[in-house]
Amino acid sequence: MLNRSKLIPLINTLVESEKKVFNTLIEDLKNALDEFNKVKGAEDELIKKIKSSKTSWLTALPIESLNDIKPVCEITKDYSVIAVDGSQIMPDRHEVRLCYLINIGYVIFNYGKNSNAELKSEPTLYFNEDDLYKEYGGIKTLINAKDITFKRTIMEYNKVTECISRVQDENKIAFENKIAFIDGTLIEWMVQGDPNEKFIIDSILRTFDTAQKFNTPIVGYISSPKSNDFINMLRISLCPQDLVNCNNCPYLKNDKSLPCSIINKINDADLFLKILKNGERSPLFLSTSHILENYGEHKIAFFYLNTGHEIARIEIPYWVADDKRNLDLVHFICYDQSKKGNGYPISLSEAHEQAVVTGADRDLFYSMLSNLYIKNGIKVSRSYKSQRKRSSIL
Amino acid sequence: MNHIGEVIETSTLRFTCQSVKLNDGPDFGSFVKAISNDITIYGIVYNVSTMSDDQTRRPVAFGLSEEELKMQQPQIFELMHTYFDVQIIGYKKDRYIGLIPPKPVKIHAFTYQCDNIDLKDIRADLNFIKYILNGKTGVEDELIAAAIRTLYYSTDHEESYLIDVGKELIRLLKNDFDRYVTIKRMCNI
Repeated sequence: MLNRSKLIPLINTLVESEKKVFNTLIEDLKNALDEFNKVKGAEDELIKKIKSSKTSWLTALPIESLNDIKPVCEITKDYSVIAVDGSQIMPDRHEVRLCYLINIGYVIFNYGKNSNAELKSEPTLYFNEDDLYKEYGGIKTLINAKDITFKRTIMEYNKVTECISRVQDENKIAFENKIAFIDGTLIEWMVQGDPNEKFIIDSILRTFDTAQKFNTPIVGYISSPKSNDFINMLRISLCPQDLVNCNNCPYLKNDKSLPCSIINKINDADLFLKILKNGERSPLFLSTSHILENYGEHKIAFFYLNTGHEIARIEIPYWVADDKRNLDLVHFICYDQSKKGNGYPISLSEAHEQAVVTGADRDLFYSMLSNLYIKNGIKVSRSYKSQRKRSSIL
Repeated sequence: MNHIGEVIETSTLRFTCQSVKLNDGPDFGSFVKAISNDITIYGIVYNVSTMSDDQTRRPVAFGLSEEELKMQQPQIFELMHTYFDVQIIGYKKDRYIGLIPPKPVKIHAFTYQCDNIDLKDIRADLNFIKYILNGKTGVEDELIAAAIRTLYYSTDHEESYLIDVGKELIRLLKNDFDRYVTIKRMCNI
């Protein structure tokens, strides 16, 4: 039970510290804007400096002129959009049976003259020994939350592949304008170092291949992004050293304040909120995430978009970024979808609604399971911890 | 014959159906039937509503025409349904009986619009008047007037039918002459 009277002073302390940070943000924003204006037109030197730098930061690599801020243009009213999202019931050893469920929700919306909508979800139940345990280095352990998340990611991408192929079959001519949304980043940096890294990346790349074959841009939509690739780019630019090497930073050694630290309290979205007007997108950048070395030709580019509600980060494979028509289409559809969804793409938000497994759904699942156990004469045994959670003793 | 709805809530006196088409349920006061096991159960539609499937999500106004909405927000038409409530007035096993059926309609049974043969059966048994008048639907008077109009038009305007119905109404409402006059006026024939 949460003791509210003890909690309130803690919240107050949090708010007080936030107030102090807020003031420094304004200063950092001003510094970042100044530096941004300075590097405009000197992109080539900046790229050279970034490429020769030795830092541990993720840095945005501009592939368009930094002056290239583009307004949104309405390309078409007739388009198709696919969106996929997933959710799960994690295994719980206190429950009737150790198992987990992954629910994939997807939507296909066709707009314009032949408009229609399909909204579905598909649950998959995993209960076999092979699904529940993994063996690595001769040790057998129970699958963890991270493994299940990766499995879900693969299933989401597989569903995207399936939907892209279906839309292609059904609307050969009707909808030339189509994109597929993934909720969140296309840069699966989380899998780096995982024993299944290659397997996961390969299955994602298969989806990218299908998308490229059928010319359906895959778009990773990140609402309220916390990334600072662009700020890091400016920090490299701020560094007075010709050859940036953070491991050997002279300012660090002399205990001085770092020249690059004058903008490190803000993130990319904070800055682009000042730069981009409603509907405008930032120049394109390439991500320098290490995991992308495994993406082969599907390098990930990104831009920031002012949706009229917030700054969203839009990630696309390089072959989409490299084609002006596709790029403009992604820019327009992201903006239009966000407008339709009142700040967040309506297709992604409905895919989420399809995918989501609520607490009530979870309870229903376990109650159905235990009812069928009883019906079939199988003994139902729940841990005492689980039983006491359901009915505490007074 | 295509079904117009499916039973999603059922009890001895009433049932509720989800309409096959959005915004296109049966008319208020129209007669419907549901085929349930070996009997056909007849009833009259007393309420039609359209709402979100998810009770926690309320529709919002878009300020767009229906055509524009279909082009710009096609998904909302998949997330709402039309429902209709039916009051039971009789059933048919071997023949039509104007009484409450021994068992309620089965859940998920299909509902159909009544045809002329069904209406002839309903017409012949005046018990429906009592069921509707005492139905506690909140719209008893409007419903009986709508039922009388529907049945009268299905007879090719037989005056004698109106006289029979009128007599039954007077019998049931002998203590409430004002109510009888109101219903007669609402029949608007």
